[in-house]
Order: sequence, then structure tokens, then C-alpha cells
Amino acid sequence: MTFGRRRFLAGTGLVVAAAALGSCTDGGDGESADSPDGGRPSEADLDFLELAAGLEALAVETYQGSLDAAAGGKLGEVPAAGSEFLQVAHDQHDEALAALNGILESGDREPVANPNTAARESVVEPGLASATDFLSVARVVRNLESALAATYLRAVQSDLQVNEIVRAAAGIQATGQKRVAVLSFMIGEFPSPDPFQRTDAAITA
Amino acid sequence: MRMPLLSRRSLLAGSLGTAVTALVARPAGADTPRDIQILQTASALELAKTAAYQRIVELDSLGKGDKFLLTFLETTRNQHGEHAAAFRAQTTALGGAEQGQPHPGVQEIVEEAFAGTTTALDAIRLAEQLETIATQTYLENTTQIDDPVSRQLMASVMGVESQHAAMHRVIAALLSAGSPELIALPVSPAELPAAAGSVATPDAIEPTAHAVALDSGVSTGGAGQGE
Repeated sequence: MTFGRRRFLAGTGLVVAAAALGSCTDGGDGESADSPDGGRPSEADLDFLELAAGLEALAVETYQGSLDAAAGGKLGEVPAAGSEFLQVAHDQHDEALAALNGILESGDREPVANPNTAARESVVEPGLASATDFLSVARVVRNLESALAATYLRAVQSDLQVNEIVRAAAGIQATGQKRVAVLSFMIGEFPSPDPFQRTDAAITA
Repeated sequence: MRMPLLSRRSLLAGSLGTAVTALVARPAGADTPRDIQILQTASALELAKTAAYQRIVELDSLGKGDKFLLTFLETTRNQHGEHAAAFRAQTTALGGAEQGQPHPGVQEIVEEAFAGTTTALDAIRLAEQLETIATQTYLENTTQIDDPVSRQLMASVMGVESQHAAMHRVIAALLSAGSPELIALPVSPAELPAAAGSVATPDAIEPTAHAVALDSGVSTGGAGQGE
């Protein structure tokens, strides 16, 4: 973890969400103006956070694996911009994971440490196993980032109840979309082909 | 209270461009006047950006390099036109007046940027600033807007504005490095400076410090009246 959990929460406004969730666990009935239903996370909120944390853990694992492969010479000559991207993305997914786990703990759920296995098998492993250069890795992580961003978008559009959790999900979605654009550019594809972000690639479990 | 929106979500899945006209009136959310203000402000932002991009693509200082830069700018301009149309349609779907004027605060930023000699780097930095304002405004709006369809639209547009901002940061980095030839598609990743791998994503979670006020671009006369 790069930073402490409180710093994440403060930096992203998620301390409000944590406080709101905490107030719901002590039997209090105070209403929060920051949520349409008084700050109480629904089961759907918490279920989504668990899914998202598992996906962030998968991203951390995938980027770490890519960095290890690069360091071990398995990807040939990795471009400077590529190395920079892999490291920054790894660290930021680690930050996102810590932030999500912070909210989960405030909601009396266990933090998530294990990567999402379904997405690992369907999105990551098929491409990463045969990757021998940076561009191959870039295609894999671009697809993973697309899937994560679509998952956050779908949740923001439908599942989430607490506004600070919406803000967190949308904030992670926005950064994920930035990564998708840069990776697409690096692999030779147009960085923003769709006028409206799609949810086709969203992960459900 | 949020509700499952499978039928409306289907309108937003895939290309929303073809679904804009399908965003029909539906029961309003808990705070319709505020939702209309948010949509009018979003419309005003998109109109200001569309006009700004038009001025940018006409700049001689963009040069005659790889056609990718011009294609990217023109595509982005057109996407903002689609966003404006979608926001305006959704405004009327909620019973509000369409906003047909650019956002005054953003327009001021644009005019200031074009007041002197505008280099390609100046223009890209302006575009990045506008996209960041839009991204962070729409991000904040996702927590403020009650109408479910409007929020679906807001979040979907936000994801694309974020991509625009990212590419402008990369392009600005390449211009600043004196490497305009690398603003090309396809590009050779090996030639990109290290900064190209990190400049687009300074934050793990997008902040909202640059968001404009949700009512800063309402139609003259208020949320429910004509322009």
C-alpha cells in the first residue's frame, strides 16, 4: 500500500462515506443529507464494493505480474513510457483497492484481498500467458481496464445508493477511462472512439 | 431511491448516439428543478466546448503534421455536439427549457485563451482544461442528480470526457518535449518519453476540485423557462 487508508479517504471525500456507514452500524437513526436514503448502504452497495475490490486486486496482481515479467526480461525491451505506465497503474489500483476496502470495513464487511478469479480467467490469463512483448501486455491491460471502467459505470448508473460511494466509483471509473485512452493510443488504436462510454464489457461476478 | 433500470439502461448500452432520440419523458425524480439545472449547465458546457474545438481546429498553429491530431480534435468536437444534443433532449424530457447558450464561465476561459497568439500547445492545454472541468463537473453531478436516466447519461458522458482529457495531457507532453511527430497513429511506443506513461493519470480517483456549480449554466429565466 502506497499511502495510509485515512489519507485515501480524506483525499477522495470517502471519509464522509466511511462516517455515514459507521453511523449506520451503531443503531443511530440520523439521516445524512448526502444520500438519498439517509446514508445507509444497501446490500447492493456492499456487494458492489466487494466485486470492485476483487477487480482492483486483480489489476494490482496483473500489473505486478507484468512488471515482474519486464524486470525478468520476458517482454524484451520495454518502452520507457510503458514501464512508467505499468508502475503508476499498479500503484493507483493499489490505492483504489485500499479505499474500497476502507469503506467495506466501515460497513462491517471484511476487506477483500483476493483477486477476482472469473475476470482473471476470462480477461487476463488468455492474453498474458502468451505475452512476449510490451504491446501484448498493453492489449491485455487495456481490455482489463475497459472491463473495470464499464463495471464502475454500470454500478453508478444503477446499483449504488450512497452518494459518496457513487462518487468513489465514478472517480475510479474516470481514471480507468484515462488509462484505456492512453493504452489504446500506445497500441495504435483511436483513444476515444465512442461518444458515450459503453457497459458491454462490464463484469458481473 | 434508485431503481433497477434495465429497460432504460438498454437505451444507454452500446452507442448512445443512436439512442438520444429514444430518451423520452419519464416520471421525474425527487428534485426535478435541480436536475434540469444540472442538465442545462451540462448542455452549456458542451456548447462552449464544441465552439472552442471549432476554433482550435481552424488554428494555423496546429501545423500540417500527422493527420491524427486533427482527426482527434474533430472527432472530439463532434462527440461534444452529440453530448449537447443528448443533454438538451433530456432537459426537455424532464420538462425544462433547452439550454442553447454556451457556459459563461467556460466561455470566458476560452476567450482569454484566444486573446493572444495561440500556439498548438496553448490550444491543447485549453482543451485539456475544458475536458477536466467537464469530467469533474459530471462526476459530481452523478451524486447530485436524482433522475435515473439523467444520471446514466451523465456518467456515460463523463467517462468519455475523461478520455479526452487524458489524450490532451499526453499530446501536451509531446508538444512540450518538442516531439510533435509522435502525435501520430500508430505511434512507436519505444519513442515516447516516459512522461507519456503517467501524465494522463495524476490521481487514482478523479477529484472534483474543478467542477463548476451545478446551476452555473442554467437557461436565462431559470430551470423551467425558455432561453
